[in-house]
Amino acid sequence: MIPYFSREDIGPILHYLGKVVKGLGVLMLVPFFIGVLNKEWAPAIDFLFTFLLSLAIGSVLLLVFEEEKDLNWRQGMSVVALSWVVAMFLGAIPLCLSGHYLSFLDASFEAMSAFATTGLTVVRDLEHMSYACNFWRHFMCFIGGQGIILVALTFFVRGGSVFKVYMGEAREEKIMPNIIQTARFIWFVSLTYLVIGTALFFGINVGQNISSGRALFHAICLFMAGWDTAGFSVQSQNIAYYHNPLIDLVTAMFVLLGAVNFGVHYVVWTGKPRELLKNYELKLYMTSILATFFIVCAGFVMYFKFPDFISFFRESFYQLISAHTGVGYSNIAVQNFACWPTLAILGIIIAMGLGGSSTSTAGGIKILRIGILLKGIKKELKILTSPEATVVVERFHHIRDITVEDNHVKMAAIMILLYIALYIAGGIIGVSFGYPFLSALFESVSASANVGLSMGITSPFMPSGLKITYIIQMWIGRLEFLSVFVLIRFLLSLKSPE
Amino acid sequence: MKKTGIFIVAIILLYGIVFADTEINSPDKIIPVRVLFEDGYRYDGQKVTVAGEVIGDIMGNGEQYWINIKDEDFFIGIVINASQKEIIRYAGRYGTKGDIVKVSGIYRLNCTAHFGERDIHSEQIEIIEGGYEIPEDIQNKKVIISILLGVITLFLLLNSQRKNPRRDICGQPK
Repeated sequence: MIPYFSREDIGPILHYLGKVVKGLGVLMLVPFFIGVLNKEWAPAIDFLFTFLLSLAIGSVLLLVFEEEKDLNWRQGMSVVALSWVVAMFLGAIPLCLSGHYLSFLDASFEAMSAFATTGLTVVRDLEHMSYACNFWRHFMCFIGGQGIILVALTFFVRGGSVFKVYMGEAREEKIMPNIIQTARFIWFVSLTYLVIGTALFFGINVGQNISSGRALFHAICLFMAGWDTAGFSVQSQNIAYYHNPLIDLVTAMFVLLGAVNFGVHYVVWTGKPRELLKNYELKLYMTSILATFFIVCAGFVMYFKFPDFISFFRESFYQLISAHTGVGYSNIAVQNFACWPTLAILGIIIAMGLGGSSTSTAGGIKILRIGILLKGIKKELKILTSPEATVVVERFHHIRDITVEDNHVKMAAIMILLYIALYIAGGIIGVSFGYPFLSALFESVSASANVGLSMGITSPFMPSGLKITYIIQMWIGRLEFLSVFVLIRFLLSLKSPE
Repeated sequence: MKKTGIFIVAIILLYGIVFADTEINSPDKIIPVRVLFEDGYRYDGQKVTVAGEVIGDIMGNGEQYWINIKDEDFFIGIVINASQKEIIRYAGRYGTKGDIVKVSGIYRLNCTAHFGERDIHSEQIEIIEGGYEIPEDIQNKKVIISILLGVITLFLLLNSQRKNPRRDICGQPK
């Protein structure tokens, strides 16, 4: 049961919010300098303005709520949920000023989509967007993928018990005994892959005769959006822009790595590669990819219109990997989905809904929860079919050997049900706006599971109500309900304090 | 008289249908890229003519290059050769409006030569509207507001820093 809040909670929550806002403001200096370097003065001014505004808002919050106390659990959760909303508004300012969005709502949609590593976009004329602004879209993905609070607080603010908020950003496990060490490890892994990934993409782009400056820009953006399973791209055509199977291959490789549990990364990095073969979540993940690909293939059996198997495999498997890892990269045009058979689209929806591994940058239900539920069902069936005195124990290996307990199964089942409810609710809202059920469900699952694939509903011209719905879905989906529920409780208790 | 009337109307209708069909299938008539997506199977393997702004980069090496063209909000990849590449002066990006080109070539829904790409293999390409540099529009009011905001922020920061001194990793004031 979430305890009631009192007015005394407001101070610490808004104090830490002030710190996060200042931290986010400092991050705006990165696109500002990119603008200056490229002599893009208009966007550079926009980022300077937002940087100053963030510092001003953060300073005001710190001045008004000056007392720095250690956060308790519920305050930490509220800070997380609130920070993501504030980050969306701040991140939207330079986007809106760029003139590439129809309204501030559209810019907010884009910012939430980036921070939540979704990748749904309502940008207009992306081809003529400045480097600074385009970089900011991808940088938001990277910040959001790592965790806004984690980025803002680990690097820009020190002290206190701020790491209590770690779990609020849907990171369930402490990979290492200490949460600071865990955060550092996540950064170490991400930055190492950043160097490797950028170098690979840069090499491929230069090999395609793209000028070195632009090749580097594309490479960094491709990596940031891929590793953090966001799926934004520098160009509107997404991965289809490159017309290069090698780009498909390398992006698929990095998104798969990004969708693997950081705990598994840690164990493998510390010299235990056998974990890859033993890990229950990873084995289930591979099984799930194969099973959903089978559904997609089955869908195409009656409607096979590809000239050869390679064309079919490249189109179908890439979209499936993109859906299952939650990246949302696409090597086909949005309109191509219109030609896909219903069963194949259903396979993609299931893959999106299931998502990637826990404690990764992927969204969705998460495979480990499915695994725990399956183990729980197996355990119950064994109990039902065994003599009364039999003690039934179910175990699985996930970094260490874990015994399945009722509490694990209950929590997994609750989360799965919440996600399914979120998917269906968004689908129903989409239908109420006049869209066909399949497309509405596709888009809803894509938003809630932070995937970013689209059947064409998401556009600057979709109804505002649906934009708000998807923003809320992306926010709730990324934070995995808990911190949002705590924030709602906080806001309700402000209205009617006990 | 009535029969003659019906005959004339029928001839006109027939001509209209034949003429309309000829218009659509005419390889020289510019087809919106949107149509290639909406009715892709109809044009698969046929010679088509499209027009649009060259955007992004010219990619490739040796004899074969890729360009992407944008027509309304639809995009398609065009395969061009080295000599056709030389024609293109501007590719659309920030501060640059790309050349508007007219391309005639064979359209493939899933090109087997390019791992299933939806593309057009260009046979003929010409610029119908040259690209140009777009000067930046720096708004003075944004600059003035930023300067004013800078002064206010500096004042707030100093005050905030005074009231909330930096803390070390243990949370103690430095």
